[in-house]
Amino acid sequence: MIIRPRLNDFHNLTFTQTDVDFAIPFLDEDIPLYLDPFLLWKSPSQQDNSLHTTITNSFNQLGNMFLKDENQAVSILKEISECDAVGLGNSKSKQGKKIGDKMAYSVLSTFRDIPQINKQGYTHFEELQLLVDSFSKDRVSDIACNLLESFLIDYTIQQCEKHNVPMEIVNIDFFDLKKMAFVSEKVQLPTNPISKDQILFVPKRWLRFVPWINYEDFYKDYVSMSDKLDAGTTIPRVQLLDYNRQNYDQVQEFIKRKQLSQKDCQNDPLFSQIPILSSKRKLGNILKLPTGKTDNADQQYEKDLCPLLASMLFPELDFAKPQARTADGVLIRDLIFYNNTSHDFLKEIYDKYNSRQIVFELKNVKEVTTTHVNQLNRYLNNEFGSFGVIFTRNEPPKSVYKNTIDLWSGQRKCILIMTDNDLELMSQVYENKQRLPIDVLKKKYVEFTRQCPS
Amino acid sequence: MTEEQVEIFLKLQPQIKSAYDEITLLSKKKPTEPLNKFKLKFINSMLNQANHILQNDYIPFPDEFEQFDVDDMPNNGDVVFILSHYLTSLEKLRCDNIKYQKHYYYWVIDGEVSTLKTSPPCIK
Repeated sequence: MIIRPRLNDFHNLTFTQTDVDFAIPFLDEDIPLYLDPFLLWKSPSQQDNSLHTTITNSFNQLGNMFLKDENQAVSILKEISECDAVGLGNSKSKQGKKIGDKMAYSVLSTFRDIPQINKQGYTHFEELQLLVDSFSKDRVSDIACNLLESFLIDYTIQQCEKHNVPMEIVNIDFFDLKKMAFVSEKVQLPTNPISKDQILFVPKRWLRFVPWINYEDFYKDYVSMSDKLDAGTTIPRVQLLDYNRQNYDQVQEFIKRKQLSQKDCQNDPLFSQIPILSSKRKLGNILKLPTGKTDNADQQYEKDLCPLLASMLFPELDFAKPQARTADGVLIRDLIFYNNTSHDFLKEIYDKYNSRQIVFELKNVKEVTTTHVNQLNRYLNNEFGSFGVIFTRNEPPKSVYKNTIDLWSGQRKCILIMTDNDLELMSQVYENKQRLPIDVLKKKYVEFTRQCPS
Repeated sequence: MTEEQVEIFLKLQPQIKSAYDEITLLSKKKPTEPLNKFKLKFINSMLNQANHILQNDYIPFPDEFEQFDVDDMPNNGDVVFILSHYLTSLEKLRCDNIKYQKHYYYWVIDGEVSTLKTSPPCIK
């Protein structure tokens, strides 16, 4: 069982997130991003633009249906309000809840109550966040995904074939835009090995943390700028949404502004490195820190080192998560990375030590001891293979270093001890880009293997 | 020295000198910065050729050093240090294989003084 497993880790596929066009799904939680239809609208790709038109047209068609047959439209909207197969959002369980009758009715009633929408329909249906209470970014994303499901099925199959992701024949219910009804079809799709649910991939270029059109920006950049509003006055959300429904031209004006500033709308990467200036600052903080626990120095060490390592080792190592656990009443912080064999050194430790994930233990101690090495050694089992790294402040005593060599001789386990000097070197190459920071890890590994008995 | 060795020498010495000058500049600014793989590849190639003509008698550190290991991440200072030793060894090899005749220095090739002129020795 690996930590925060992703689909490719389960199938032993060695691509990294940077290598593929889609967001790699986690098996037991959602990807913390949302599909933003605005990114499709502003995309230079004609395909994305036409998909945006499809979303908008289908949603407007649903509105038309509401004007004729309320019940049918409400029931369809409820059905398309959740899309578990794409696994986007903040859910820990990968299971979302559909909207209720009341919410579906308030969404669709905008087609009846707002004259401009009644006449022309929506251009960006995410405007609903400015009109209906509790209609949030995850609904925008899920409805868009459902309306694009047919495309996403083809896209997923294409990407699976390209990257050799195993697929199974499954029965999938998706929304047929021509029939305006759900249809069932047998297709080949990847499935979640734990829950057996179908998985759909979503292109990375469509994902953002927050949709470009959202309530917070509307309030901050539009409403609060109004000279008609007294300084310091806040308008309750429900009151503002009600006002918007009565004065839809205000929403239209805001949308126009958002469209004009479309250049600033970019997709959010799943992981972004910290800038060099910040990395130098973090290294400086670490080097100045006292060892031990004085003034919570140990926690500060972890706080600075976690983002620094995750950034420096990216994209060769995808960051999985920081993990806290308690051993002997002491909080130990580990950093866990996916090993996708994207570097010859990583391939070697994958092959030799069966390391599908690499664990880094952080020890802000003056002198690393055999107990620390043994602690990590106990941790090295099936899930992490036989390779681990301890990050500490100073060079280990000879006896401790010898202990790591003995571990290799006896159990073929490799534990590298990295120090502040190595961290400085990593930071130097991260800044100068002459070599990769992971080369420092390899250097340490090569030095270690030279000491091992042949 | 053979004619082939002299030919290699004439090409190699200025190459190593040029690399030495270049990396000395880098080293003055950042002596501990690791050299990138691209530059190391060419430096190793020059060192290989130098080892070939210097042979055991002239190689600066015959038992300890042959060429840089990319995995060791040698820094600018390391490279300058080694290149300077190789330049000295190459010059020593040249000095031992030239002869002064009729106001000029000539290469000694296959034991005979050739007609190929060279500059005066820098190491006596």
